[in-house]
Amino acid sequence: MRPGPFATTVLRVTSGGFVWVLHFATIYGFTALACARGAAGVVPWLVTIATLAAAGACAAILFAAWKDARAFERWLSKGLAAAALLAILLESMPLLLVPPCA
Amino acid sequence: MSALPNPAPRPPEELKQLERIWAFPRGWRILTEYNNTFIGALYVATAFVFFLLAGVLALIMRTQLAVPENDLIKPELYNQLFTMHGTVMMFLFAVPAVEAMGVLMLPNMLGARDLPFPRLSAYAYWAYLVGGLVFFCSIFVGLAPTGGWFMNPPLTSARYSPGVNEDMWLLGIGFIEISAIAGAVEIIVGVLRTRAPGMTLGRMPVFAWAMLTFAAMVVFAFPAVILATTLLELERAFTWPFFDATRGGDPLLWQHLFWFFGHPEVYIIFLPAAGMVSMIVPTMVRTPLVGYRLVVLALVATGFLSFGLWVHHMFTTGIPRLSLAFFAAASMAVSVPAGIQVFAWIATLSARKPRLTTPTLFVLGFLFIFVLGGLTGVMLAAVPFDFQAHDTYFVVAHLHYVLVGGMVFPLFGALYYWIPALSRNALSERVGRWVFGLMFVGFNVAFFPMHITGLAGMPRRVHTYAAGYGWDMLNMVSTVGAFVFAAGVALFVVDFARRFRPAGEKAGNVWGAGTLEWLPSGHYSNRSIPIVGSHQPLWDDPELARNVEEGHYYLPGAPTGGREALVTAPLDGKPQYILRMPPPDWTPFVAAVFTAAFFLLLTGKFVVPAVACGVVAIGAMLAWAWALDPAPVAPVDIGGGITVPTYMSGPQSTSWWAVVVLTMVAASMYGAAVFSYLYLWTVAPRTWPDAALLPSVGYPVAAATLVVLASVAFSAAGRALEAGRRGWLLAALASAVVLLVAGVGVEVAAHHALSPRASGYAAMVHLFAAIAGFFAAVCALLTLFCIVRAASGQVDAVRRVSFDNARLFVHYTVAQTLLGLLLVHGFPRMAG
Repeated sequence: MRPGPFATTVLRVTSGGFVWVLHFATIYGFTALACARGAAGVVPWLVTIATLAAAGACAAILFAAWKDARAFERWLSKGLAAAALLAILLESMPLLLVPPCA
Repeated sequence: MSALPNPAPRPPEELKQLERIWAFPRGWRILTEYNNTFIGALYVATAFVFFLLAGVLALIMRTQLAVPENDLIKPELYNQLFTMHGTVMMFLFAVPAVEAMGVLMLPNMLGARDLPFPRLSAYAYWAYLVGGLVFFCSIFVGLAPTGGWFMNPPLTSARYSPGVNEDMWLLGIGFIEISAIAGAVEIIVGVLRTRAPGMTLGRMPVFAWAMLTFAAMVVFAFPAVILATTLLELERAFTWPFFDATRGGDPLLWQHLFWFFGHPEVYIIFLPAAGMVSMIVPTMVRTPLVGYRLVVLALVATGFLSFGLWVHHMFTTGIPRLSLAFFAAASMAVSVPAGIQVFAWIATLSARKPRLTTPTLFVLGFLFIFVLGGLTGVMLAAVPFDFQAHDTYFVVAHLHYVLVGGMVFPLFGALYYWIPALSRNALSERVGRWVFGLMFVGFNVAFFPMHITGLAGMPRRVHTYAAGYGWDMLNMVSTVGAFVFAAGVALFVVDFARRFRPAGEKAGNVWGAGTLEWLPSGHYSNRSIPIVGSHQPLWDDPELARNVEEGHYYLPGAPTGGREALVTAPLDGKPQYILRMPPPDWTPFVAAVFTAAFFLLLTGKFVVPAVACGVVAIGAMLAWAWALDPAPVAPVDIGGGITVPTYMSGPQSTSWWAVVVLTMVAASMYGAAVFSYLYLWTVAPRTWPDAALLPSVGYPVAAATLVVLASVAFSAAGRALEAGRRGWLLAALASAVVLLVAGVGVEVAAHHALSPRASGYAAMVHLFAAIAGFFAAVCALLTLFCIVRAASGQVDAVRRVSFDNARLFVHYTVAQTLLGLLLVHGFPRMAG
C-alpha cells in the first residue's frame, strides 16, 4: 500500500463532513464575532454566502461520486455529502426566522 | 479446499509453539502480560467495578432525596456525591467500558493475532486502574471534587473552591483522558491495519466501524478537555487568568472547551454501543443487518454532526439567539442518523421472528429507552423549552434516558452476548430475564417521574427540598425505582460470579453468529487467519471454523519465533508485513504506575516526589521503546504463495501511522488553544496590546528561522542516514535539537517583560510559549533517543523506525510553532 490511495480515499469519503465542519465553524464563528463588534448587518450576507458555497461544494462531491456509486467508499462519500448538504441547509434556515445578534 | 492458503496438514509442534509463545506469564509476572484479550477483559471488569461504585453513590443520593427535608447527607458531602457520580460514570465507566470492549473484542473480530500496540493498551489500562482507584478513594477522605462533573468556573476557581478537591478532578481526570487517547491510537491503527485478508472497508463488522468512528472522535474531542483542564489548573496554581472576567478572561471559555468535548462524548459513548446492537440484532434474527451501508453512513455522519452541538448545553448563557438557533438546528439534524440506525434495527428485527434471548431483551429495552431519551433531546434542542427545563430534573431524566438507554442497556446485552466467547459457561438465560426485567422496570420507575419532577420546577443538584411543592411522591417513586434497578445489577453480578469462568474451553458460538470473534481461539487469537469474503463469513462457509483451527489459512504458526501480527492494507486488507512484538516485560506497567503517581502527587502539590515519579515513568517508556525496533530478519511465507517482509519502516509501518494519529491529537489540542486565543480576543479585546507594545519583529523572525533550520537539519540527517554516514547523522540530529530549543528559547525570551498574570491576553501568550516549549522538549527527547540508538548501531538506512518517527514529530512541531508565532506576533498587529 502506498499512503497515497488510502489518504485520498479518506479525504474523498469524509470531504462532505469537512465541508459541513467548515460551514458550521464559519457561520458560528463569524456571527459571534460580528455580534461582539456590533456588525449585525454583515451576518445575513455572510451566512448566505457561506451556505451557497458549502452547498455548492457538497453538490460537487455528489456529482464526482455519482459515476461509480456501487463501490462502497464512493457510496459512503456520496451519502456523507448528502447528509452534510441537508444539515447545512437546515442549520442555515434560522437566518430566515431569527434576527441576528438579538 | 484448493483455495485454502495452507491445505496440507500442519506439523503438530506448530500449535505447541504458538501456545508457548502466547502463554501468559506466571505469578506476579502476569502483570506484564499485554495481550489485548487479557488486558481487554481486565479493562471491562474494572470499568464495571467503577459502574458499581458510582451506582452506590447514586443510591446514597436517592436515599437522601426519598423524603423532603432529609438530613441524612450534609450538603458538602452531597456536592461530592453528585460530582463523583457523574465524573466516575462518564470518565471511569462509560468511556473506558466501550474502549475496553473494543480492545477485548476487536482482535478476534478482525481476525488479528493482536492489535498493533498492545503494550500501549496495557499502559492505558494500568494508568487508568491506579489513577481511577486513587481518584475514587478521595471521597472517603473528603477530598473529592465538588464542582459538578463539568466543573464550571468561577465556582471551581481558586477563590471559590480553595483546597485540593477540584485539583483532584483536573489532574486526576485530565490524565485519565490520556489513557483514552492511547486506546484510540491503538483502535484506529488496529482497525485499519490488522484486519483479516479480504476484509475490505465495506465488509468490516459494524462494531469495528463504530469503534473506528469512536476513536476518531476521541482524537478530536478529548484534546479540548485536556487543554481546558490544563488552563484551569494553570489559573488555580499560578493565577493565569484564562477564566477570570475581571482580568480579560472569560468563564464561558471553559464551557466552550468542555462542551466541545462533552457533547461529542455522548456519541463517543453511544456509537460503540450502537455498534454492539448492530452485531447482536442480525445474530438473533439470523439474517444480515438491513441497510449495512446506511448504518455505517449514520455512524460516520454522527461522528461529524456531533461536533456541532456543544452550545446546546449553553443555551442560557446569553449567546446571540441566531447562534443558538444554529446549534438547535444541528441538534435536530443529528437525530436523523440516530433515527436511521433505529429503523435499520427495527427492520432487521422484523425480517424474521427474533429469538427472545437476554441480549435481545436488552436491545429491545435499549430501543424503548433510547428513543424516549432522543425525543426529549429534540425537545431540549428547542431553545425556549430549554430555557424552562435547564438545570431541572427534566434534564436529569433526559440524560439518563440517553446514557443508560443508549449505553448501559446495550452493554449488558453485549456482555450476555459475548460472554460465551470468553467463558466456559454462558450466563443464565433464566436469571438474565430477571436481570433485564428488574433493570428495565427499575430504570423507568426511577427516571420517568423525573421528567415531571423537573417540569414541576425541582432543580438538579440540591441536597434536599421542602415539602409541599408536589415533588415528594415523585422523589419517593424515583428512589424505589433506583433500588429496583440496583437489584437487577446485583443479580447480574451474582450470576456473573457463579458462571463466568475464563479458563479452559469456551462455551463458543451458542447463538450461531456469523462473525469472526466466534471462531475457536486461544491466547494467540485464531490458529490461522482466515480470508473474509462477506459480512458473516461463518454463515457463508460452514467449514471456516474447522479450517481456521486446523491451520489451513494464513500464518498458522509463528515463523519468526516470537509474538507477531499480520499487518494488512487499510483498503482491501491484502497482507503487507509481519509485525514482530517483543515478549512481555515490566516497562508498560512501571510506566503506567509512575505516570499515575506523577499526576496524583501533583494534586497534593508534592512537587519533588512527583517529578521523581515522572522521571521514572519516562525512563520506563524509553526502555519500552528501546525494544520496539528489532533488527530485520528474513521475509516469511504465510501461505498461499505469499511471502511478506518482517520489518517495515516509513509510511507503511504501523508505527508511522501511530505518530500520524498522535500529531492529529496534538493538532486538535493546538486548534483548541488557537480557538481560546481568538475567543478571548472576541470577548475581551481591551487586553490586547497596540502593535507598538509588542515584542520587536526581530524575535519572531529569529525564532522562526531557528526552528525552520531545525527541520532542515533533520532532513539533512535523513540524507546522511541513507548515505550511511553516521558521523554526519549524529551531528545533524544534535544540531536539530539545539536549533529547535534555541528557537523556542527566543520566543520565551520575547515575552520576558509580560507577566502571564497580567491579563487573559498575557496568559494566552505565555500558554503558546509553554506549548512550544513542551513540544520542543518532547522532540529533544525523541531525537536524543535516536542519537543514542544511532550511536549504538541500532539505526541505519533499513532499520530506521525510531528515526522516521522522530523526524515526523519534529517536522510537525516546527509547523505548529510557526503557526503559533504567526498568531502571537502577527495577529495583534493585523487586528490592532
